[in-house]
Amino acid sequence: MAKKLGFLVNIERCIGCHACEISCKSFYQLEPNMRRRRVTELPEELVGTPVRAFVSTACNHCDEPACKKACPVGAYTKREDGIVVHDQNMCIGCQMCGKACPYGVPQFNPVKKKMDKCSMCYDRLDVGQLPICVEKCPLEAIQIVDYNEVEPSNSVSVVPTFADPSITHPTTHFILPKPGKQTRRF
Amino acid sequence: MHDLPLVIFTILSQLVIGGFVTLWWLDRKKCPISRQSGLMISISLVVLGAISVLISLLHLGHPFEAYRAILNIGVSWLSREVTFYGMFVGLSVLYTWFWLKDEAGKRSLIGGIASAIGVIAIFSSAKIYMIPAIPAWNSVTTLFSFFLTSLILGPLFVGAFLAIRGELSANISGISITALIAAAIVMVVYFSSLQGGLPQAVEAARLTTHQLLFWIRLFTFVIAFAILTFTFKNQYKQNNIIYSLVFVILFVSEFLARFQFYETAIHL
Repeated sequence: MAKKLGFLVNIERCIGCHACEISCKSFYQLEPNMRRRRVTELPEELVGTPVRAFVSTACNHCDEPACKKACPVGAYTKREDGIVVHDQNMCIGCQMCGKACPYGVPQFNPVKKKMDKCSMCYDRLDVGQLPICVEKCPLEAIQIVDYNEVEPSNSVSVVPTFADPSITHPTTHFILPKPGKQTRRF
Repeated sequence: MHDLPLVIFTILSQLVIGGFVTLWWLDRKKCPISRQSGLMISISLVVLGAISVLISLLHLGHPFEAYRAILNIGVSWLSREVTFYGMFVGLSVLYTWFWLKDEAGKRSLIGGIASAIGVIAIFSSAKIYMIPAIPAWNSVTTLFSFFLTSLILGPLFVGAFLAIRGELSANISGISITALIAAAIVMVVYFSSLQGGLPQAVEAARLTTHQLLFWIRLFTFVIAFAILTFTFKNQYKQNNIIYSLVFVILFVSEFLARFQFYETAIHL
């Protein structure tokens, strides 16, 4: 059975240090305003009681990638393991993939004048290494999971600010923080 | 503005296809159009078509690699638009050739094929934008508005041209008024659906109506409608000045509407 690789982001563990974001940006030598992974703060009311929570998101390597359908040159391919790969050599910089992706993942590289997105470091995975964001997270808050083998029961496929997953069926899942205890003082 | 080339491309391509279908239809219906006028209109449509293609390349990061845009025709509507519009422009060159040679039979056949391909090109063009990621675009009103732009500008372009040449024998006002009424209905449906849609759609409606451009678009639309309606019954008033004036007013109106279509689109 083919793999279905996806990110599993543990929001309970994430402290918003941006190490994943910066290590990826540094590793791939991205232009100043570009990020393949972004860390954002979530609304406090995420789990009922107020919590301070952060979420790290990148390409969701969707089951039905809108970028792949929109691209006029066929620069996107979905590998057998589920990773959606963008071939920059094919790209003509029409930016339609960025418009079509509900998560706005593909970004325009103003220097190369081509689109750019997370590749789940497939070349590292192919030689048995972890993606750079997974490796550099000090809290081990990001994992790569084969969702055909394991479906973590405590995860969800959507968090606030995340687009409706029924559009492209993203593979990214999230583990929500546990609600904190509220202490009442009389 | 990054999308300006696309604003110009979509408006010009829809004008060209609408004009082409009108010319082909009038010619097919044996409306008297001299060879010289037919040739001039046909050449001007080919030139406008070629200009629209060149302008569309400006929004690409790598315009000289644009030829690759037909590779994903199996799934990508953008690929289909490029392919069908390219075929349309190519066939319109052939159509012009048959005006030059004055071969009515071949002209009618090629014109019919090109018209059908032009319609498919507009359909493909609209489908590019009907994507869930941008709620303000993801509606059948996008499809209707693209076709209506073609129906509003195309016949008026040919009508004004023939009126200037003194060869206008068909009443263009009727189709233009009908198209404007349909466009007004689509506009109402569009804003109603935005108001009742996702927060991004509501925001798009708010942004659109809060710009001066929207009111200029509405004003020009109403003025053009009024001129066409008042001159509808009187054939003497359907002259070159009226058609040219209404065409220019509506071109500005449609351009502003399309500009806002791109400018106020909010991503999910």
